[in-house]
Amino acid sequence: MKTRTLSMILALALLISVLAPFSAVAEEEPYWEIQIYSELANYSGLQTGWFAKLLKDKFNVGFNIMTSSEGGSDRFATQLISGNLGDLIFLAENNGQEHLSEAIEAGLILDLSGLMEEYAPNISHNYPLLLEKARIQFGGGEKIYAIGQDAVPTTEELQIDGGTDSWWGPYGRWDLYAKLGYPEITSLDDLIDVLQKMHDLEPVNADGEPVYAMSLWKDWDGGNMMSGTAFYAIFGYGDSFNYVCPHATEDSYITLLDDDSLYIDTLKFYFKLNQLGLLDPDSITQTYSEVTTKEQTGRVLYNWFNPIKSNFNTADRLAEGKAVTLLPFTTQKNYGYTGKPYGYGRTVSIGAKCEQPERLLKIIDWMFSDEGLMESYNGPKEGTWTFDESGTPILTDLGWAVYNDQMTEMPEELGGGTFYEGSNKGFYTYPSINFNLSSTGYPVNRDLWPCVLSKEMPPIIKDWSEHMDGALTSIEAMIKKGIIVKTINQAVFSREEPLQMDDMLQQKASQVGSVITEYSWKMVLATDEAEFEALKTEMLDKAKGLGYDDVVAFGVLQVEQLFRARAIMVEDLSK
Amino acid sequence: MAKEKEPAPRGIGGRSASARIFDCVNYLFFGLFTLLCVYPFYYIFINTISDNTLTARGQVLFYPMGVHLSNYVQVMKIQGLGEATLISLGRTVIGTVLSVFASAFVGYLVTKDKMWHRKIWYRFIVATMYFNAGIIPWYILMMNLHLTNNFLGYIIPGIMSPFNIILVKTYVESIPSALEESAQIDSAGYWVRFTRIIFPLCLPILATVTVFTAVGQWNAFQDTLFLMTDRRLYTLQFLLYRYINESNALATVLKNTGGNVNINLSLVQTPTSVRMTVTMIVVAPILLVYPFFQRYFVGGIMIGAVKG
Amino acid sequence: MKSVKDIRTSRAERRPLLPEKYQLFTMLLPFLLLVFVFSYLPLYGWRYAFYAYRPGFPLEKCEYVGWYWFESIFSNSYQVAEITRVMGNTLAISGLGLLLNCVAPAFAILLNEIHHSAYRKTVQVLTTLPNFISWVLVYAVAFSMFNVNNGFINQFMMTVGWVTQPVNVLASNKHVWLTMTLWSAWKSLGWSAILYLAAIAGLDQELYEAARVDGANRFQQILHITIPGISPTFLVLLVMSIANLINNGMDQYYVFQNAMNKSSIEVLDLYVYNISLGGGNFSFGTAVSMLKSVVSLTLLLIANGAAKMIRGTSIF
Repeated sequence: MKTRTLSMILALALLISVLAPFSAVAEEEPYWEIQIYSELANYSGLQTGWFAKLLKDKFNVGFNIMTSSEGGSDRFATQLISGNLGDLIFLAENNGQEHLSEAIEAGLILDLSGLMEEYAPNISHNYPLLLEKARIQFGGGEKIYAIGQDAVPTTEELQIDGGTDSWWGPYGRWDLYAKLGYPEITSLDDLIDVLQKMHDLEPVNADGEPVYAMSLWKDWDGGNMMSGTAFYAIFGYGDSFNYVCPHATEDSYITLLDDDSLYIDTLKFYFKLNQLGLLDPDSITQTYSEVTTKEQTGRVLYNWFNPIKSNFNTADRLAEGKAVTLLPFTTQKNYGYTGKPYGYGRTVSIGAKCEQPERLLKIIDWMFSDEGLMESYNGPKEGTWTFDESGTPILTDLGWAVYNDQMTEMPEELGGGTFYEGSNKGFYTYPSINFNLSSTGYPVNRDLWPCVLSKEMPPIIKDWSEHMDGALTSIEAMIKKGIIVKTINQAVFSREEPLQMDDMLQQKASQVGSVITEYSWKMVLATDEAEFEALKTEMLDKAKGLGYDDVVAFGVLQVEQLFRARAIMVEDLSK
Repeated sequence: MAKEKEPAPRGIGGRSASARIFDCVNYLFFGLFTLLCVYPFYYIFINTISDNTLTARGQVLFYPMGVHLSNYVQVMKIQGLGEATLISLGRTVIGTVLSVFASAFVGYLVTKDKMWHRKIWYRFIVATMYFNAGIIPWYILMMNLHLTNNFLGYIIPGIMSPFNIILVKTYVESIPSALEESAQIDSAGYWVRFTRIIFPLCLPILATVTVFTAVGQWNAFQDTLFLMTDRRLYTLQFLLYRYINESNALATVLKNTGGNVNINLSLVQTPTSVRMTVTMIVVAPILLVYPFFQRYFVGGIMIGAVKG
Repeated sequence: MKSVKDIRTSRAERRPLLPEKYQLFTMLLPFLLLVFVFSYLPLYGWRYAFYAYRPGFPLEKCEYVGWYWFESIFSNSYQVAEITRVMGNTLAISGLGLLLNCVAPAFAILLNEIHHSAYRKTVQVLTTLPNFISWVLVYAVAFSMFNVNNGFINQFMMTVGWVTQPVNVLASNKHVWLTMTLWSAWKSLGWSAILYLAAIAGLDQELYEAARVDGANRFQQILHITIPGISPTFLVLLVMSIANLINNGMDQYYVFQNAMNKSSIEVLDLYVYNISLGGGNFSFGTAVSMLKSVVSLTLLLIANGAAKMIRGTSIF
């Protein structure tokens, strides 16, 4: 009987808690919990910490974030059906273009064209090209449904927009490379040789665990083995469109399984590493989080993208003279994105059912302002950063602590929690953070502030810098070495309707992708050349049989559209 | 009614050598199998309280090292954990009581040959185990029934469980029909016969069904994910699912953006130790409540006791 | 408001009016309604299988594609080869899974033979533990134990000298069907044995007493009382799992799959997930689930018919 009473009480308590109305505080602008749907967030729940405090103080709002990854495509579908995605909607580029047009067509997105001038003066005046794209691409020439993110306000000479380290590197152990006498690396074959020698210098880490030249993982593979296209960006090609990859500057492209394919060459490279025992044997079974641990414990020497740098370079290791830095090929032609006056493919929109769109638009506009950008990215002014007498942004003591460790606790009056917990969790910044703000003359990104760049370098980094013609950042090094090519971003717009794959072709594409991924790994782990070649033949046969050529044909259409768009952009900018 | 099985008096075979060997092997087998089941769990537990860097490197195997509770403290910091626990408890208790009652009653009714087209109705229920219209029609239905953002959305759809009904029905069929008919003399209705005779006799299977349903309710998070956008209706499991989903979400973000985001990857990884902590937090209450039900299915019932 | 007396009279009057067979049906009716609403109503969604359905749009606005999605599984020889391989995996793993159906009652019977009550209960609780560990976490634990670099199983085997080179067990394409079955046995055995323990607990103790009086030993008691006593439960579960032959679920196989073992581990549910953009192609998903329903119900009919032939009465 006790359980019955208990359950009755429970049911009652529940009923009360469910039915109890919110006690609303009567204010001029009452507290508002903004519902966010984001394809750019990996955190769900309420925004906490310093950014929450900032929002509360400035606008009396809170963010309740929902990420797209919960429930994946099913969740997006049910939200579409319910007719409400949320108040503030962030869609990403890969699916985003498609999701955005679906959401607009289904009537879930609010047209902002009537509100922009009054409630978003910053955006209207500083980012006219962004709005032009919004009108033409999705709004039938008039309406504004979505504002692109990561834009720059200027059309003057476009700069490479990469911050300090480009995503695609490559990055490797500079100290070991230095011991070898800085040998030239011109090709993947050279690289094998260098990695072999580096590995001979350090076969085990400080704890005696085996070290590998490279360690790969299985959980990020999509239409192909993800590691197989990793060198694309390093040799002058951008992101692929359905196996078709455009050249950085020329109107030409390569396809995944060409006769002379960079993808197959890359697989061959991993195959050779594996033959030499330089590839982590757990590569095929592990996930990225295991690789992170290995990079943190110094068990990986080389990777083609930048997280290995922050994973390995602790203060202790730098003091010991060990460091991971950019370790480029002499023949490298890195794909260097330039700033994007038209914004990136990822967009911000306001939901059709949002009750206070004007108020929300004001908040979005604040995020496009210099002040909003500085504070939402770097933390509260006078808290983590401030301006010195000359108007240069500088880090405060707290700011330096955060610079060294994002897990630094923030004081209660700034919102509490660690800096990382309190950072903007719904999305990343609106405009690009790497261009110089007109009001300060410095970028938003604190890594590019004079106080950070002029910091004294540990000897090993100094050594690297000297070999990079005195560059302070990886991007600068690439520019000085002439191994980066300024590229008009892929997210240009062609004034045409974006091409969309129909469900039938999509299904073919995923069948093909599934086969290519499987065989690529098998090729890497093949026991000898003959098996490698046999698997390659088998892969080509199966992929083609399942419709590889149809998928590529669609990719070619997309790439051709890109070429037309680039031409238009060049024309626009020369005006 | 349901009472502990007495240590059965050993018969002739009980003392023989072969029986003793059998016992030894039997005890040993279960000991080993239990070890096999417990060790991974123990492994998970010691890893949740050990130094996270040692954990990530796979060095914590047999005993905790660098003991700390920060994983648990971290999870306890999740906002709204208390309310969510209440909702979870609420749906588990209410949902289970209703579902077990329905399984018992329906399971009993479908044994009655006298019912009008009994076989058809029974098959009507059973068949639903083997088809599934998919998430979208289900969602549209729930929306039209106003079960989205509604606590009842946790309860009503789960009341009928064909699997449990089949279990109960099979069990009821094994009860000698004479027992039930003995009550028919005083022309008691089906309801009375169900509550007075069948229900008590079914306790072992009902305890089983209760455990299955309660664990199912307690562990469910998919319905919250799709049906509930109101934070006040979030369940504990849903919050924990969100919490450990962050690293998966990260991979999605990276895929969506081609890596063009300003994030420090090493900060946003969910270490396996966190995943493990969440498992411990979810399983602990189950393990606390479970033995209470256990006595109903590791005993034996005396049908005579019911008769009398 | 009716008085108690009224109710009593009305009940007395209703009795002859509503014959027993309808009376029983009316009691069942509300529950049938629930089943109808929550399980049958959504089936209108099977229409999506014939369209290129886009969520959020009315069906009239979606392209009608006829039987395209059904045919797309078999539309050329390469796809036929794929689906044949996948069905092979599905049936093999399910087939081995059927064997587990026999292990669970044996487990319960043997456990019941343990007379030390505390030991029995402890074993019973602890063997259900694996059931509560999610497959993702099972894989994480498996990886940390079996990996080549510092998996202690490899280290142990090397120390003992069983192997000279560490083996990447998780990437092996050998015995995948068997290892997958063993993993699921480990995870589910203790939990599914509960059903049989309940069935045994429901057997009349007087039968055992009578048997003991007649001089039956433990083995004879098991053979003549326990096994016949739990066989209805066994048969019911067997028929249900035969109907489920092509539904293996995908969680387990999804976390364990990698390029090396994929050709043997890809069961139907995983295959559909892999080729429909992680389930994003709703029309195709619906088409497959329709086919699966048909197959399952057919299997159910066959198994039920077979049970009827063997036992004389059908199960469903």
